[in-house]
Amino acid sequence: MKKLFLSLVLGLLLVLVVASPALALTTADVAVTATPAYVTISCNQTVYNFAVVAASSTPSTTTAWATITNGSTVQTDQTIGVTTATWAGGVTWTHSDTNTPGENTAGMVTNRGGTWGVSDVIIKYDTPNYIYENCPASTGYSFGLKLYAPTSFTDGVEKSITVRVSAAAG
Amino acid sequence: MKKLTLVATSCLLLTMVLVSCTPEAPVTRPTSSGDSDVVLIRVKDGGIESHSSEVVVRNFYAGARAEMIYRIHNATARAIIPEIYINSSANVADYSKADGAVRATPEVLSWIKLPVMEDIAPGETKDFVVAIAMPKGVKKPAEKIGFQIGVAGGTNTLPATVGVAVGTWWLISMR
Repeated sequence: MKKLFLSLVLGLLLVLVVASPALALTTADVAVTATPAYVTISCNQTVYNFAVVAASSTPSTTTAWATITNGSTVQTDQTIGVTTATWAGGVTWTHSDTNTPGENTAGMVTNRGGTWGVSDVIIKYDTPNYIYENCPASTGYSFGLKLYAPTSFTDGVEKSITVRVSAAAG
Repeated sequence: MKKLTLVATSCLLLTMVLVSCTPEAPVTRPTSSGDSDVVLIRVKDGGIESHSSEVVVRNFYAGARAEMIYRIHNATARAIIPEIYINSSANVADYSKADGAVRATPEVLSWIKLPVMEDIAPGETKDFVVAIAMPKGVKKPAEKIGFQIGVAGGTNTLPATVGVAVGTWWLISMR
């Protein structure tokens, strides 16, 4: 009887040891929730056409050309970038993330309501820059676009690229 | 002694029953409730709004899958094809509520499953599922990781188009 009891206790211990990691795995399921907050921006401009540009020219809008209305109820970080690495149309232009124009290579900068050449922000494809970091809730702003045209072109076909302003809780 | 043996036997049986009931390494569907089970996005003319700033995933582990519905409403007068993308350049360290989360590595970003996007007619709403599935047997990259999922209302091909987008942070705590 003693032997039986001992073997039962040992068996119980063994099962518990084996079972504990399995039981630990199920102590809680993966939980997924969305945190309510209101993040919203809109832009009063959708298109800008620089028209016919000369090689090495730097045409621009005013620095208050477009207005971002920011109705977010939380602080946001806002970036500006282009959505593709090239300008579409005919012989494509490479978009320079260092704003260094070259043969069929263009760059672009933005300025947030100030003076061109003072605190301009390069509009990049990879790792877009902040146009407004730590933008307070319900705070809008204006910005402009400045093109750095290629030093030479292969063709005269119209080129296009999309600029995107993105906001996320900051 | 007889009683003791009986008690020990019962315990053993009970433990065995518990073990047999343990669900196998679960491909867990997320639990969520109330207003926090979807990310509501509204695309307007020239604008976009999100009703969530972050998606929080808790207790994540190798072999698990977490999903979130992005419910996108087209409030414009034209059909749109919204875009849901990984904003790989966003660094969660810049987020004031990151709470120790570290930037997701390219390996972690490869676990993200983005939906196939479809047209949304004017005035209509469609659901799109964004998921992250961590492969089995993979070592956890950190205790807490973060990345950003962006949503844009759709693009067109006009010259120098300006568009807007919103991002939601995903904050994932590992088990």
